[in-house]
Amino acid sequence: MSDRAAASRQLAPPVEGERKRKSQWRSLLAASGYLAPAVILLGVFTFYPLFRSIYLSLFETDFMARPILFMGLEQYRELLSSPRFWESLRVTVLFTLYTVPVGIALAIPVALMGNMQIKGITFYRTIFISTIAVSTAIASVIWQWMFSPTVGVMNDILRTVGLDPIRWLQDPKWALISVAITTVWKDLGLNVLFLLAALQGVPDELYEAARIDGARGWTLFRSVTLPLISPTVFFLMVVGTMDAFRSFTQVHIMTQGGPLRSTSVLVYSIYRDAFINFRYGFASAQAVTLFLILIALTLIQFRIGERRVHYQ
Amino acid sequence: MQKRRLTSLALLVLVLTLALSGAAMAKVKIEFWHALGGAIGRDILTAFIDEFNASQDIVEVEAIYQGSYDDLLNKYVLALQAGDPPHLVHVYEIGTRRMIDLKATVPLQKFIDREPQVLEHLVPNLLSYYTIDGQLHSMPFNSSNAILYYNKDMFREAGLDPERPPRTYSEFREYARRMSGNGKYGFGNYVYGWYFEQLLAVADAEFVNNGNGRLAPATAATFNNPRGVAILQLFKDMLDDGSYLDTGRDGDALRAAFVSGQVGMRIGSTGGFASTFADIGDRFELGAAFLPAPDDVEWGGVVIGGGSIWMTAGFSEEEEEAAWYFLKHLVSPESTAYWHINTGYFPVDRRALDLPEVKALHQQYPQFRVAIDQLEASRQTYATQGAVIGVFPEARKAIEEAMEYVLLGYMTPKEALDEAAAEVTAAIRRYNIQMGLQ
Repeated sequence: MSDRAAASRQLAPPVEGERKRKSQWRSLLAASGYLAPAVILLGVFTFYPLFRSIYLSLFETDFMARPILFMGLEQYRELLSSPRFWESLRVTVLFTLYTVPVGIALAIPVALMGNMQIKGITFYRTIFISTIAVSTAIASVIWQWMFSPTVGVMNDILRTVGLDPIRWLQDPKWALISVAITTVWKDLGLNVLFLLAALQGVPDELYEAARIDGARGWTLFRSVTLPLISPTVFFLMVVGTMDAFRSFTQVHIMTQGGPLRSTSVLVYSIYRDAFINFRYGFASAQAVTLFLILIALTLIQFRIGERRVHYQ
Repeated sequence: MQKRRLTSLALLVLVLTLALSGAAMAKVKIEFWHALGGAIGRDILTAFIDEFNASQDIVEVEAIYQGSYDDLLNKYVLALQAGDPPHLVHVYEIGTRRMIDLKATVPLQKFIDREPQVLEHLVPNLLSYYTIDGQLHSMPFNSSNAILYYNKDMFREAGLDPERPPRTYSEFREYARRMSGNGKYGFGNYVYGWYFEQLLAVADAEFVNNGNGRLAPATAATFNNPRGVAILQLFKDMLDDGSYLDTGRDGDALRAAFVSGQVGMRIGSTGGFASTFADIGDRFELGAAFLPAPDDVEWGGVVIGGGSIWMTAGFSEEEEEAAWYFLKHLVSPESTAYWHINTGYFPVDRRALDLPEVKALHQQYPQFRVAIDQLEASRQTYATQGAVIGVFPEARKAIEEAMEYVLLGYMTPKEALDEAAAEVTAAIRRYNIQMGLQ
C-alpha cells in the first residue's frame, strides 16, 4: 500500500470513507458476479483437472484412479527414461511439422484466390471454408475409406495414372503422412477463413502505392501482403502447433497409434496408458509433461515469432 | 348434496391418481449399458428390448449404447466414481478379471444358488469361461467364437473341394496359394489380437501361466511358446507366398475385400455372420469352417468371445430382482434363438436349437451351425477355457504390435513375441501389485 493511499484515507472524513468502502465493496461484488461464469467454468473444467493431474502424477493409482501409493517424481523418472516417450515426442513433432507449416502454406494461395472480386466468389469461399463444419471424427472416417487398401479411391487414382498403390495406413513410412493429409484437409477451412479475413483487412491504398512504385505479382505479395497478414499467420502457427500437439481423434480412428507406433502421438499414448492400461499416475505425468512442453513452445514462438511479425 | 358430490369427485380423483402412479411405480426402471454398435445394437437389440418392455409390467429396461467395449469399461469406472452407475453393464470377455477385481458388482451366483434351473441348459463352455473361483460372476450374453469364412466359388475356380475346407496349417497355406493371383488373395487378415488368441487355443497352447490364470493369478505371459510362434510364422510365410492380403488395422477394409470376392478365406467372429450373409447377397456362396490347427497337434478348441452382463452392487433388492428378471429373459431359449438368427452369435441356451425357427435356419444355411459345432467339439482345457488376466486389453495390443513387426519384416516371429511377452509379463506384475494379488 502506497503512502499516498494511506494519506488519502487519513484525510478523508470518516463518513465519506465509509461510503466509499461500501461502494468499493459493491463494485467488487458486481465484478465477481460478472466474472463468476468464466471463473467457475474454467475452474471446474480446466484448473481442477490440471491440479488433479499434477497430484495424480505423483502417485501410483488403482484403476478407479484413486491414488494408492505415493511415488514422488518416480513416474516422471520412468517417463523420461522410457524410449517410447521419446519416440512419441518425435512422432508428435514430425506430425506438427507435417501439418502446421504445410497447412498454412496451402491456405495462403487459396485465400488469395478467394480474395479476388469475381463472379461466384462466395460459392468458391464457401467450398473451401466448409471443412470447418466437418468434425475431425467424420473427416477421419471419410479419409480412412479413401485410404483403404482394398476399396480406397486414393489407390484407384494412383493406378489410373500408372503408379503403384501405396499402403497408406499400413506402411509405417506412410501412416503419419496419411494422418497428416487428413488433418491438413480438415484444418484448411479454418486457416483460409482467418487468412481471408486478414487479406480483406489490407488497405487498397497500400497496394496502389506499391504499384505506383512498380511492384507487381510476387514482389507485391512479399513486400505488402505478407507483412500485413503476418500477425494472422503467426496466430495460426501458435494455435496450430498447440492443436497438432494435442491431436488425438484422427489417430484414434485411423491407426490406433500403429503401425509400429509410427503414429503414436503424445496424447494417444496418454490415452492408451490411462484408459487401456489403467495407469492413471503414469498417464498424468505424461499429460503434465505435455503441458510444460506446450508452455515452453509457446514462449519460444512468442520470443522468436513476435520479432518477425508486423503489427499495423 | 352438492357437498357430497364434490367429496366423491375428490375421492375419485385421489383414487385414480394413486392407481395411475401405482401402475407407473410398479415398473422398476433398469439402466443397461451396452457396447453393441451398428445394426446389431441399433435395430436388433432395440427391437428386443422394446418387445420385452411391452411384454410385462415388472421391469422397464433402458438400453444405452456407450461406444466400444474399451470406452464402455472406462465410462463404467467413471460412473462408479461418480456414484451413478447403471444397474447392468455389458463387458467384453477379456474384461472379466478386471471386473472381478473392481469389486463393484454382485456375483450372479447369489441368484443361481436360489434358481439353479436357469443355468441347466446353458452351454457348458460358457459357464466354465465365466465361472471363476467357483462363482458365476456375470451372465453370458452375446457369445461368439472365431470361425473360418470362405468363398466357395473361389474354391471351385481353384479346383478345390468347397465341401472340404482346410484343417491344418499346411493345407491352409496350400489352399490359399492356389486361390491367389490376378489381384486375388487366398487369405485376408487384419491386425487383430483376438484371432491370435483363438488360433493359440486351437493349437491347445496357453496364453499365460498358472493354468491360463485359472489355477492362481497369472504371473507371466507364455504366448511366445512354439505354438504362438507358429501362428505368426504361418502368416508371414503366406505373406511371402503372395497369398495373404494384409489390411493393417482396418477390419472394414478386410470385410469389404472378402464380400467383394477379392479374398478367398478370412477369420471372423460368428457374431458378424448374419450381416456378412446379407452383404454378400448372391455374389457367391459363403462357407464356414473350423479354424485350422498346426499339422502335428490335436485340434484343441476355441475360446468364448463376445460379452457378458454384470450387475452393479449397491442397488435395492427390488432393483436387483428386476435386473435379474431381465437377465433370465435374456438367456431364455426364445431370446437366444432370436439373437442367434439375427446376428450369428451362438445361442447360449441349448434348447434354442430345438426351436422350429432355429431348425429352419440351420436347414437352409448349415453354415450357422458351424460355430455351435466348433464350440461343442472344443476340448475343455485351460487353453480353450481362455486366459483370465486383468491386463488383457494391454496384452491384446502387445500381440497386435508383434504381428505388425513380423508382417512388416522388422522382426522374426520369435523375437516379436518374446518382446511382447516381456511387456505383458511386466504389466501382469504391475497389475498384481496394484491389486494386492502378489
